[in-house]
Amino acid sequence: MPEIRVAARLLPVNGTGRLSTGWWGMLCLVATEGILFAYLIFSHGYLGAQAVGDWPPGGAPALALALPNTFLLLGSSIVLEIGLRRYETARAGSPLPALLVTAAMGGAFVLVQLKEWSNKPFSFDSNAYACSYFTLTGFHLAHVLAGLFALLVLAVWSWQGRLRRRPSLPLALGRIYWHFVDIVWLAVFTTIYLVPQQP
Amino acid sequence: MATIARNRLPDQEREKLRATWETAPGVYGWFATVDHKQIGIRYLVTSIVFLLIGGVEALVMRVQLAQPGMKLLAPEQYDQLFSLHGVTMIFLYALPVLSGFSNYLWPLMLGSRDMAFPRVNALSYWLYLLSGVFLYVGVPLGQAPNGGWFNYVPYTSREYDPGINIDIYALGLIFLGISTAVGSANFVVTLLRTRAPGMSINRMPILVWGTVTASAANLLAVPSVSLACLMLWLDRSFGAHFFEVSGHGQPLLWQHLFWAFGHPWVYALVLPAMGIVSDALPVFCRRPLVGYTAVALATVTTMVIGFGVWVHHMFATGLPAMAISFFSAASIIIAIPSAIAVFSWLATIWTGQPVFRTPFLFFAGFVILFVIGGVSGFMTASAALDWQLTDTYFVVAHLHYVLLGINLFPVVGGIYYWFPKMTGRMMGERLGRWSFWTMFIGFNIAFFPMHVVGLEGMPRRVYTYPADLGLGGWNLLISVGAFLFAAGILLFLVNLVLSLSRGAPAGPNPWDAPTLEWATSSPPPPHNFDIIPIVASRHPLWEDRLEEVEERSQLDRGYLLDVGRETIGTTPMDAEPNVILRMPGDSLLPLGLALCVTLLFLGLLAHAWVIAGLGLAGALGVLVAWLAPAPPVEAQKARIYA
Amino acid sequence: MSSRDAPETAVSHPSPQRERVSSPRLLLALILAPTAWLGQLIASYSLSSVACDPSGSSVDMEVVPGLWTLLLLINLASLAAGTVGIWLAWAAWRRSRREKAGGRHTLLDVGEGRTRFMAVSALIVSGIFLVAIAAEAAALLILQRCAPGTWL
Repeated sequence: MPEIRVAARLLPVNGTGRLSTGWWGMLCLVATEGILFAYLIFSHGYLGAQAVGDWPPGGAPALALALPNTFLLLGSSIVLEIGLRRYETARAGSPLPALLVTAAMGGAFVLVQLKEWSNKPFSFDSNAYACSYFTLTGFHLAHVLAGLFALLVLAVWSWQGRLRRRPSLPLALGRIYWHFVDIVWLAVFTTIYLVPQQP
Repeated sequence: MATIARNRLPDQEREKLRATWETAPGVYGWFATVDHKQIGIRYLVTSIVFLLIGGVEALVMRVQLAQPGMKLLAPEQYDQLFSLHGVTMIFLYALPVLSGFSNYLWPLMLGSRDMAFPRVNALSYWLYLLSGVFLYVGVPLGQAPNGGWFNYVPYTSREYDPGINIDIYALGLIFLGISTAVGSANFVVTLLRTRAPGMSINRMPILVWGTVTASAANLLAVPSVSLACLMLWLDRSFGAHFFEVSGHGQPLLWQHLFWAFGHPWVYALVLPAMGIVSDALPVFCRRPLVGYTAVALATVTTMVIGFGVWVHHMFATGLPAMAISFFSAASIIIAIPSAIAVFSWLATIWTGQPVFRTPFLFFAGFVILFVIGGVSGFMTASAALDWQLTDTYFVVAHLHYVLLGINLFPVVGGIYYWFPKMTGRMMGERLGRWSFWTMFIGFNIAFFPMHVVGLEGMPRRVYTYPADLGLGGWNLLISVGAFLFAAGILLFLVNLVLSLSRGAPAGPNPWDAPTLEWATSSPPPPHNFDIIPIVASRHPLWEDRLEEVEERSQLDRGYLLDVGRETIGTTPMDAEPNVILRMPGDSLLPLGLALCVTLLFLGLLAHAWVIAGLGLAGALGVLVAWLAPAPPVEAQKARIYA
Repeated sequence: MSSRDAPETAVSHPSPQRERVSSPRLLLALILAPTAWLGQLIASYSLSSVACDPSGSSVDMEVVPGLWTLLLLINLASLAAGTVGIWLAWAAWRRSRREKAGGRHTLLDVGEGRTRFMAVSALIVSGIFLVAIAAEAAALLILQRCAPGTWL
């Protein structure tokens, strides 16, 4: 006769990383958002390919602000990665500093990007290039803001001591999202800034 | 039959599981439930309500078109009706009804206790319901979407269509897209992580293959139309120039983005329905599906090719013939996987011992309609022929054969088939046959002549036509067929309602079917299975009879997991248990988030930015509460019954 | 460990020969041909559109010299990739064909043995997509021009 007993093996409950369902859910989110950017870049390229006259109107955009800003955003990913690895391997006592420095760098990126916007000689409704430019970079900016929001929420949770478990699932999810936002920027940066440059 | 020894688990234990998983009673439970079975039934009921609304819209149009020069509808009313009809059927009925089946059936078929993200499941339903209502808010004002379901610019730019009609369409589709995306992600993760131990990917029912393929495709396709709609809304609201030629925009960009979504989407509307047939038809042929592996792969292949055929909707837009020919080739090749599936069904019927019950009739009827619709699709894949046929009633005939034939017939057959599981009662057989024959004959009278009037040159989307076109007789016949078809649907609904209270008791497995959903009681308890099954083959309940495999699935011993709401998490490919998943219970968060999103979209529609901002802020707040980290739980030894 | 201690051991593993074909290899066999086809389609479409458009007056592809040759090379590369996909799938099938009882007909009908199921899936998928790649290439070879005649 069967009876109620316990299995021999210990199984994690909910788990983190690939064991958890949240990790896979985050990958689905990243996949659908990634393809959204692919469609945005396709649209930008399509409008450019069909354009009559200069594309971009008035020549290639300057790299003076955008290039350093790119390094700033990439640097923020590196800071986050190092900080979280140190935390996971118990070399750091708290993820809080890494989260805050990353958020500060992300915030600086947003400010530089807004400055870049205000420097543009055209406005959103000037022409197809302008609306595509602001929409593509604006979508990315919105994702950076969402990532910043996530980082700050994680910082609060960490401060409250709710992320004690190592590795922690919320931290892992925030980390995937922030890296995603940075990698997408490379595609956006290439589309908007690098492709139109004349050698 | 595998051993289903009922009540082996002590009653007291079953009650404990039931109490753990049961939705709270009363109004709170109604709004807070995360039970996939309740959500699945809600999806089914809501989508059938939309089917009826869309159907009534179609009937009104058929009265208008019954004779030349009728004056029942003004042109503007007709525009709104055919647009609403298309939007309702394609977006609010066809996919959600399949989500209903899958939501209800997946955990039962996979031997699990719920979907991977039960609260996301509830969220996806509430978003669907509210976005459906949103798409209809313009109706009382006489300002419903009026640009057809694919809503081409420049007809729909502000200059030519200044009302809020198109804004409702654009924002409504983005809104619905959120529901589709979160629902699809839930299916994908559920598939990868919550199958019963032993159910490796080669032991999944075809419905599961169909739905996961459609879900993965939706994740990749829906952003395209959401983006197109956003661009259109920006064009209309803020003077952007994405589609406006005056500002160097490109009207064809709309068509590219729309169809890059639209074609994968129509496959998403049919693949799970084909899965319904692949799983249920063999039960009525008393044998397994012929060529399971080939059919599973045909499903995936159809979807992948479906991403490379979107330009065949744009053959007549003046693209270079060279460019068109690539897409024509792909559109012809896509017939190969479809043919694989058709021949598998035919071989299953041919080599089986068919039992002519109502579901069988619907599935066999589906095969016929699929072949007719497939052939007319194959014809229009040829660019030269498409130039003759595009924008005529021939295309209307084609799309109704494929969408009604491949979606609605399997859906109705599927309801006849799984109604006993959902309610514990059989549906009436006599009325069932009447409903099938009325629907089938009405359908063909209504839609087959459309091929003819299309070939005779009748354009689609016209509110009336002159008498000297000589098509009055055909059109009258079409309208009569449409009403006959509607009568068939009505008979089906009457049967449904009568059977709810008067149907014969079903028992757990009235059709003597092979898959796991039939191993539990009808209707299933809130926790689905007392013990999570251990699966040894694709037909756990037919193993003794088929002798396909030497081993036997275990349904009465295995993981019990009775400490709180728990189910087993398994590896993506081979379904080896590797984690205990603790599931959330009743929650108002999904409804709260859906309401905040609704507020956001209403604000955007009215250009009331404060309201939109409130909605967004509320949504973020709910999300933070939703994702708040739970206190960590140590690893455990799972409770088992062995 | 008996099934009284670990219930999943009540049935044998669904893919006993999973070690014989590595997962990345199986995955590559599955996606190589479809990816090649999608790449071929998108490259062919966008390149031929560039060559044939911009003002809508060109009939020959020689507006951009060498473009047709480039398209041909892309098509040949896709055919090659599809063939490699088939070969990988075939090799995986050879290694895992005895994973469970029954030969290829049983596998097509019943699907037992997860490794060989994926191998034969890759074979079917690669086969269909190789046909698709060939059909796309045929379009290129038959037309050779942006449009028959001067209807543009």
